[in-house]
Amino acid sequence: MRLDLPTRVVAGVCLVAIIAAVVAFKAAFADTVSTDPLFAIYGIVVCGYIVSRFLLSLAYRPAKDAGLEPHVAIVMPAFNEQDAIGASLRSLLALDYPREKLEIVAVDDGSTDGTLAAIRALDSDRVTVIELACNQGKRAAMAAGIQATDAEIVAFVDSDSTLEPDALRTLVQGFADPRVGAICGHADVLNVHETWLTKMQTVRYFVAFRVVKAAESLVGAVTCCSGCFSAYRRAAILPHLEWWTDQRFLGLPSTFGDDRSLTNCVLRDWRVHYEARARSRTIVPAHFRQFMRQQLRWKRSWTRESLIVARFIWRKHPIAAVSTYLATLLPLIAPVIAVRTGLVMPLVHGAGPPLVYFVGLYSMAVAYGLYYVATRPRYDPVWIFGIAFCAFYVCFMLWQTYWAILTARTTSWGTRPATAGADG
Amino acid sequence: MRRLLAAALVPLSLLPFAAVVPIVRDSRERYVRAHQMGPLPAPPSGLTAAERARFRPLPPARGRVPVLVWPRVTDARAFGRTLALLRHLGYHSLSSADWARFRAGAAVPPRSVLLTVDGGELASYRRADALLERFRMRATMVVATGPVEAGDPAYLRWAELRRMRASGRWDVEPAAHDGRRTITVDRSGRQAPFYTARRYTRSAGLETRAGWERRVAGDLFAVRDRFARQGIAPHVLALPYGDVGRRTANDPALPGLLSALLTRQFGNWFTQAADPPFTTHGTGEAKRFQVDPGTGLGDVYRWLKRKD
Repeated sequence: MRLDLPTRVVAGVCLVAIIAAVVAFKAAFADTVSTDPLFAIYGIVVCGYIVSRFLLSLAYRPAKDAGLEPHVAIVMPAFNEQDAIGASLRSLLALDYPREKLEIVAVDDGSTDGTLAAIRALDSDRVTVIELACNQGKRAAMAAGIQATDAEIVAFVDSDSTLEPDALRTLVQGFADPRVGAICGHADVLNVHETWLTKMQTVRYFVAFRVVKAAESLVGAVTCCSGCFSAYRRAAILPHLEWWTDQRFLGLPSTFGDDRSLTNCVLRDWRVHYEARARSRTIVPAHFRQFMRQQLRWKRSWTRESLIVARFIWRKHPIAAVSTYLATLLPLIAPVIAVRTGLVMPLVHGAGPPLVYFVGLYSMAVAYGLYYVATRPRYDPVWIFGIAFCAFYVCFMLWQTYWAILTARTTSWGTRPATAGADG
Repeated sequence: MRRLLAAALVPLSLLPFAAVVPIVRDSRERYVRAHQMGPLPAPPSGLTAAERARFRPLPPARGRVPVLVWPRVTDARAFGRTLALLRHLGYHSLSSADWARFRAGAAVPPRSVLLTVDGGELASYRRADALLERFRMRATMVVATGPVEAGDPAYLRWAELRRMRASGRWDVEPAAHDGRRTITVDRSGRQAPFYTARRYTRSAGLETRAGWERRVAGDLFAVRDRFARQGIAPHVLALPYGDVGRRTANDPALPGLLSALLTRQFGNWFTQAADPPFTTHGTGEAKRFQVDPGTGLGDVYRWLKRKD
């Protein structure tokens, strides 16, 4: 019995019901703004932010097929990825794109394992291999790839990501609009069923791309073109290449956050879009420690780049400005709200368990999970891990924000051995 | 089958919402209660120049304290004007504890008055509180502990009563626990106050006197118990319907028995009348002047002028 369609319909109905119930709840308690302004305004703003993401993403439409086939170079920087890079490069070789218009540049960033051997083992004359003598960091590797080509469009694919055959052709169609400087492809999780953590990230990735990036794309202001798979107009990045390669934060080199930083460079003067049909898959951390380090690194780069994007986003589009400022502000307030609601109010003021807070979290978690079910062609119960992820987020990830801000200057990747410019 | 169960997770994910709906509804009610049921703004309630001239200050009534009762505060302006009159005449409102000390023989300032509001209704508090604050006076809210416990939204709750006491504008004294209602007292279905008559039931006929005593003493014990749980020592009990049974008893012995029981249990107890004497040193019954919606400032002034 095929259950996919009925399940999707039920999920869609449930999703609409939850959003309607949450909005009705917020409206019913709107007068709490006068009695408990911090919590009430925070709740309304968070609710408004999330609901607006869903609504904006509904209006999102992928770019039309303009028959574009520009000269593209795919740059794949790699450091100690001997297990994954073979599959990644093979997926590039299998792309449905004219051979003469596609360059594949693999940059080995001084790997100490068999990465270089894995690249060479492909034995393909279509892959240009750049071998850096020593590990210089991802940005240097990406810059080396950019400088090795004169392609009109430069795409980046992480060495642990694979592309669908039509991904590149679909991605570049958005460049038919001359105002577009960069396009972010869609990324799904490749190792979905490896651990509970990868299952949780599966839902998170899907929502982050299909809801958040789609909403940002509507106003041409995607704030982070994922390193998994994104493409840039050469003319948009060349003026910033030197600054980007040598970016420093409080006197120290910025060794990570390359994708968010490069997006910022382009976003200032160009439109940045998301292309939902250009699908890639990427390997995500399967273990707690590895995952937390990755998240800490992402939050540090978010800290740095938020300071930059805040300076110009107000000129882009009102929706983009409000969204970006809220996306910066809310994670800063969230831990304060959690402590106040979960500890101070019940323990100090005898306010009882923070039911409204937990119901709000659960609503958000279920809404994301149901969105996953409603918009995927095949039903996969992995969505239930999306609900678990919200609890995981509150327990572990929420608290990273302040630590990430305090240590934003660090140059250590955390998930790999010391790289060029790293501490010590 | 397994896929069917997996798909069932989708609607099942909404179940927790169904579980919290009653809690959220209750939370909303509590919120409204806490934040939208506060005191109402005090309406204009001053005396006119003509009234100030008409109601001349009275000679102090030494050793006597007038006690006023509002069965409920329905007209905030009228309540405020009565307070304005008392203030104009130089009256100082006593706490119920001060009044009890006065009853026990202590001296009080010459122009002292005790203000009481019966019923324990939220609406009475909301209308009266800002006026008490404006005229720097205090009043005693008389409550039946049964409706307070039952959570009837029309009545004040313990948390609210505690806040009222903490404000320094209110004292809290008891009326009854469950006894602020009427009971059937004969075959024809005639009703009388819970405390003042023997109950009639079709199955058992007229309650025995011992049965009456058990019922009434049980209710009074419940009152003391509920006040003790709140850490409040009652100084006086206001008899529901203001009658000790002289008007409504179906057994001539009951008024005497009830008077003795109340005096034993509470020391002082209130009744009310149209033109009662002021309270004096002593124990037992103390009469209050009832302020009804039709009671004018002139009526109150006339009563305050009495000499006995």
